[in-house]
Amino acid sequence: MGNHRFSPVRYIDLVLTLTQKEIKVRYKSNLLGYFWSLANPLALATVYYLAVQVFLRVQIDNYIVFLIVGLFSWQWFNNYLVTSCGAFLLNASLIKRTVFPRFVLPIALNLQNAFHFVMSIPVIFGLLIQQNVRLHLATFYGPLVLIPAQFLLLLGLGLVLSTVNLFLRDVERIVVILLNMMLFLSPVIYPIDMVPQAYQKFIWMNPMTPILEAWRGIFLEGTVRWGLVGLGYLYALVALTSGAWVYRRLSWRFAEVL
Amino acid sequence: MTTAIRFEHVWKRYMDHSLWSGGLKNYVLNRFREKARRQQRLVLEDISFEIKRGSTVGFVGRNGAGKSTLLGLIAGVLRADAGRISLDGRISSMLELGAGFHPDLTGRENVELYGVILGFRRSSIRRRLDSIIEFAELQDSVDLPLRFYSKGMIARLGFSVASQLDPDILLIDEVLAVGDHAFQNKCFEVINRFRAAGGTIVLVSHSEDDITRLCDQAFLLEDHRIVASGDPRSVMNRYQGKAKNSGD
Repeated sequence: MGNHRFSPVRYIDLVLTLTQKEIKVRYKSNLLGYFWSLANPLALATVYYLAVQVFLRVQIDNYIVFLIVGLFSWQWFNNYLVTSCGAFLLNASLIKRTVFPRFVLPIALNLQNAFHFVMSIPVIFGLLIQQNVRLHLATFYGPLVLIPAQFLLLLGLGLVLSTVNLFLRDVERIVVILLNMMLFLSPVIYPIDMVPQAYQKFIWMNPMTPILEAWRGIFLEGTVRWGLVGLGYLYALVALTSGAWVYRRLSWRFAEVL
Repeated sequence: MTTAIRFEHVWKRYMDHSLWSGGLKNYVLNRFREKARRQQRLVLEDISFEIKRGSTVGFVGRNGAGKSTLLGLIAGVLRADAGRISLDGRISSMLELGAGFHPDLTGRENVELYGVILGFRRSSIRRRLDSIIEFAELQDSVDLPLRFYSKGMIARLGFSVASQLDPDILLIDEVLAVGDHAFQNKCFEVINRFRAAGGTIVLVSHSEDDITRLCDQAFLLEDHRIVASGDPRSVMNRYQGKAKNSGD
């Protein structure tokens, strides 16, 4: 596909324009676009708070903040992976008719989801203040360290899913089921210390575990837990490598199977 | 005169649909059937031709003969299974005007998006925005969401953006059929100007008018092969004769 020469500046132009388009579309179709991106995690947080803290009477410190932090991060993970299955599939006409680097599509989609996550951080800060959680310096610079880790991890996974789903169209359905299961197999609604020792190593194999735990460190303890951040980046590297490998092997067939 | 496009014994097969479109379940089942794996659909068989720089060439043939696949190969959207394709010059394709337009965005926003996808810098598309919209004659509706546009209006907008490109080789896939009469004439004007400047054009069309009026040379594709080439009128005659005989 060497007819069009895409310089790095053009890649950036392309990614930003596509991202902007998605965000515009989302906020145009309804005035409450911002509210809608918050509604789901907030509703879930309320329900889990009732179920776990009130009904089951499990005591977890600052549980409401704990839940919100976990669910916002999870929401990004969940929404991106579900929509990434359509990143190429839903752009069939573009892929069949025009020559451009296809991988910008999952990147733009992830940027859009990252944007929604960033927009939800003020809600976390509001909650921290309202719940009298002390704000540390790390609470402010921590997100700058961790957002790229989560972004890259998701991008790698999304690249695999968006590519594979073109060839095996039921992958999308499997992803939805797996994500539902993973919500309960990740430390989203419980801290990892509550998991029996024997099972903890399996929970750590979940690529979102270090990132979720690191988010808690930043917002609840006011420290950047570098070990977890490092592990998060390691998972991200593995995911990106797999994503790039799958994409490179199959991308030339995209126009044929659409 | 040098060659702009050269195909040497190009073959193209598509993967067998049943293997993957059935999803993961069928894939696992079919993996074990060696025969199912081998089944591929032949689309282009041993295609060789040369297109000279500055000429306008038309491809005709019935639906499914492989015309669009051929343009896809030239455009670089598809990759050949065997053979060599050599191209000399920057290619721009008008395969489907306005691919990627979004109905909720305004005409203006879509121009930016489409331009960037076609390879423009965003700043340069912004500079040309007024002339693009003027050419498409859409000054009045440029800030409306695209879902209020008619098909012809969308095609006009797409053509206006694509015509801003400055390619050496232009690929056109039946896009001239859209738009009203006045706009079609405008399209012909753009194409003629492009030819006069020494550009190469590859065109797919069913319209006798397009082929005989624009082309220096034509190819007839039938059953995945080139069966006739040369003077546009005689190729067109053969195509139409064949179509009648086979009851199309």
